[in-house]
Amino acid sequence: MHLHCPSYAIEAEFQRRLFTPPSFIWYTNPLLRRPHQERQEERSSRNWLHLPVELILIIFEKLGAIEVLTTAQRVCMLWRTICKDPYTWRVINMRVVGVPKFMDYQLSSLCRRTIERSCGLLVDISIDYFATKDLLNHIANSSFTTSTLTEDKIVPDNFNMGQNSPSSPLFENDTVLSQFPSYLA
Amino acid sequence: MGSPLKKIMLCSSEKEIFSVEEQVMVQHSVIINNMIEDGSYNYEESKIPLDCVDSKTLKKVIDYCTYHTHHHNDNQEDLEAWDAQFLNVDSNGLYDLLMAANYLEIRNLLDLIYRTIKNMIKGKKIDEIRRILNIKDHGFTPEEEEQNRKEYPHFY
Repeated sequence: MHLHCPSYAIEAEFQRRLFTPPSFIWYTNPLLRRPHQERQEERSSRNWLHLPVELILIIFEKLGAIEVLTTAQRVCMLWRTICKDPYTWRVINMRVVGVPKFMDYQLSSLCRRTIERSCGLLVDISIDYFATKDLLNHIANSSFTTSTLTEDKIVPDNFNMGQNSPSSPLFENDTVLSQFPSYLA
Repeated sequence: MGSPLKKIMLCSSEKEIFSVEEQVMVQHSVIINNMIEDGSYNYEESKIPLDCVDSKTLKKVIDYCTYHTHHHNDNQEDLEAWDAQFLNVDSNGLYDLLMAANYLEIRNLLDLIYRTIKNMIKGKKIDEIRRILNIKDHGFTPEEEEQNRKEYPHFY
């Protein structure tokens, strides 16, 4: 097969592809990121989208699930993509400590949706006063591997660990802390 | 642990060379500790190249390590006050520090930076977070953005 294309045109096309500024896909897909692009960036202002994904995950972990699901996932496409990944939700920290007032949200439905996102990969979940028997059963049924369940301020009318444990054997080895764990302070 | 008198050379991205007490870096940075333990560092000739860390940031990192090595017996409040003063930088500076600390694996500094970033964006609305982190191109289509704004006006 013969390519009827003068070599300078190929060269020009090659140069164009090499030197056109990266489109947004370069930022959103970490696999496509190249170090030289980051060097071409203006040094005067850093692009936080270039932060390695593992560092973003640590920041999310520190923020807590409620904040991530309400604001952070709408900040940019990259963060949204990370939030859709089941592996992000292996550990869910759904504590209401320090969550601002404007986030008046249906916490238990938010929790259910988060558990759906984890696609059964959940290993550790911490929830707060919105825990009900229904929700706990939902957690037990939707994950194969949950080994730690931490919660506090359980409303006694809705939930009784003594009644719950025999019906869901998953909870037998669980750690249930009735006080705030020290790492929250 | 090396003797406190030995010096090691660190080379920033601008090829500027910093001479630091070995113990200071070994104590804080996991990769430098590994390098020294391996014996792959030659005290006469080697310079540790840190191509992704610029001079300004490297100087700050060294300041941090030096201070925390020599003042680790101080009371907690003084150290915290010093840390707060140390991290009184803009978001660009914080980004550089984070990348440097991550590269050198300085655990205490990483912890400190993560906490600062968390405090920077915790409880903020989306527009504020974008402004703080300097995110101009958020990558949503105008329709998606419009719909999100309509659906959750209190987050923006």
